Amino acid sequence: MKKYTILGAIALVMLAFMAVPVMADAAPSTSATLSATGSITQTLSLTNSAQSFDFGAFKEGVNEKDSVGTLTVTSAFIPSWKVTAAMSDGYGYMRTGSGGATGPYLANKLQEYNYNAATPAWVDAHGLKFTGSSSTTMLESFQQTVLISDAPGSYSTVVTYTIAAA
Amino acid sequence: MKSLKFLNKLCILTLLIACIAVIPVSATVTLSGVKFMADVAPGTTVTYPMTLSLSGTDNNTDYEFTVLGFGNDGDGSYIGIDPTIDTSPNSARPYITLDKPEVSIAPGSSETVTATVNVQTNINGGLYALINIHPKPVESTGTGATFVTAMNVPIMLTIMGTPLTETGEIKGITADGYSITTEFTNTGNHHYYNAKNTLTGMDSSGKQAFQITTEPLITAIVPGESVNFKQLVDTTTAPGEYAVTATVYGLNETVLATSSATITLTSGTPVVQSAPTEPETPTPLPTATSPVGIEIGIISLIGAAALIVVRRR
Repeated sequence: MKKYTILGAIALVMLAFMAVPVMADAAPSTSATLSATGSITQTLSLTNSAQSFDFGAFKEGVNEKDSVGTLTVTSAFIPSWKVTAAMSDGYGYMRTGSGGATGPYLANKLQEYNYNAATPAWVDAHGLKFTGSSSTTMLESFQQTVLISDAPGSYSTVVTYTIAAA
Repeated sequence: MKSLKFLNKLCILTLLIACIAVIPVSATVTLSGVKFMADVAPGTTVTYPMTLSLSGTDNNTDYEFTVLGFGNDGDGSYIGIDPTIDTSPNSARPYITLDKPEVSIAPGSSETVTATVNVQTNINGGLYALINIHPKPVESTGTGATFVTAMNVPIMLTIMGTPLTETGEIKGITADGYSITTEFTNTGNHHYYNAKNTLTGMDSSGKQAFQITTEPLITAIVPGESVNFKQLVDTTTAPGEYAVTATVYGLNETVLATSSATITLTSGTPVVQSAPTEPETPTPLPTATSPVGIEIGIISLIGAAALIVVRRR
């Protein structure tokens, strides 16, 4: 019991010290200056849920398609940004060693169900405007039409998503 | 007893599935220092740090920082101009140096690259460049696509004390079906935001048949660059010849350029094109947790509880 009384007394003394402003040796003052600093850092994050996508073995006359994943943009203190997409061949065709696919590589236009040729028009389709500091997620979905005229081989492409603050 | 063992195994399996489900497979690249826009004095040197970081789930990646000319695509998007063809007098590219043109970033860490701009004394208006940050070129393999994320850092400097010219010119007005394209070029020495185009069409009797205005561009048009304003005329408008006047406005409704032409609207299925001005704003999707994730989480919690009960018995 005695131990708790001593501890309680010590706590009360400490509280008193904390509550009473330190006046000793302080020069008389009629004003106080509060100095505050802060900074704003603009950041942009781009998250791609898929690093790559494999259609597997193509079948003649079949529209090979699949949902790939999502592309998420997170911005802080950016009024607006824009994502553009480009394919490695510059035109929108998957390439094999000897040439390109006859049919264009198609991209799903965001959440809509119509597919667009992944040409520069596709860049328009993927263009976005977003205002504020928040996240937006786009669906990535692709389709490749395989035609009888396509040469045998492995077809591939590199899709580059580029983001820039407006 | 057998059913208890089965339940036990089921619980462990459920927990395993839950563990796999919560491990993120996506990769995130984050850039701090995304746009260098400032007023600078001629003859000074300014620096701009850019910090690039990778999520812990990404692979070790080598990134290249490349200084390019600043261009506008037809829809207003920013595009890099190869140094060999970047001849703009307002290009900042020749005056920018990077302390590290290439960095290797480990998962969960970051690297800072600083751009130094030597502001010239003989240039009026603005100085512009793009710093493109991209992973070192990757080769696509197999039958599919490889996805790469890159970033462009706009450098937009206004040189203080120099005359700023914000002017433009309409290079052409053309029609395709009911879609009218107005090609517009920034002929000044300074960029401008919020450019928009108003098209007014008069029929042969001099009566106004249509008037359409684009949404303001969210991107800036930089000196020497062109954009295409694409607008769709209401398809209820009768086909035929129209005298069209295009007026491009800048910020605060300042008229940047105006031009007139005679165009022909042709019937048939109009070509619907996305306007260069206002790309769509998608409906935000749930990003943090998918419904499947929630279900797995609930199942795993139930599984864990069942496991504890079984163990105690």
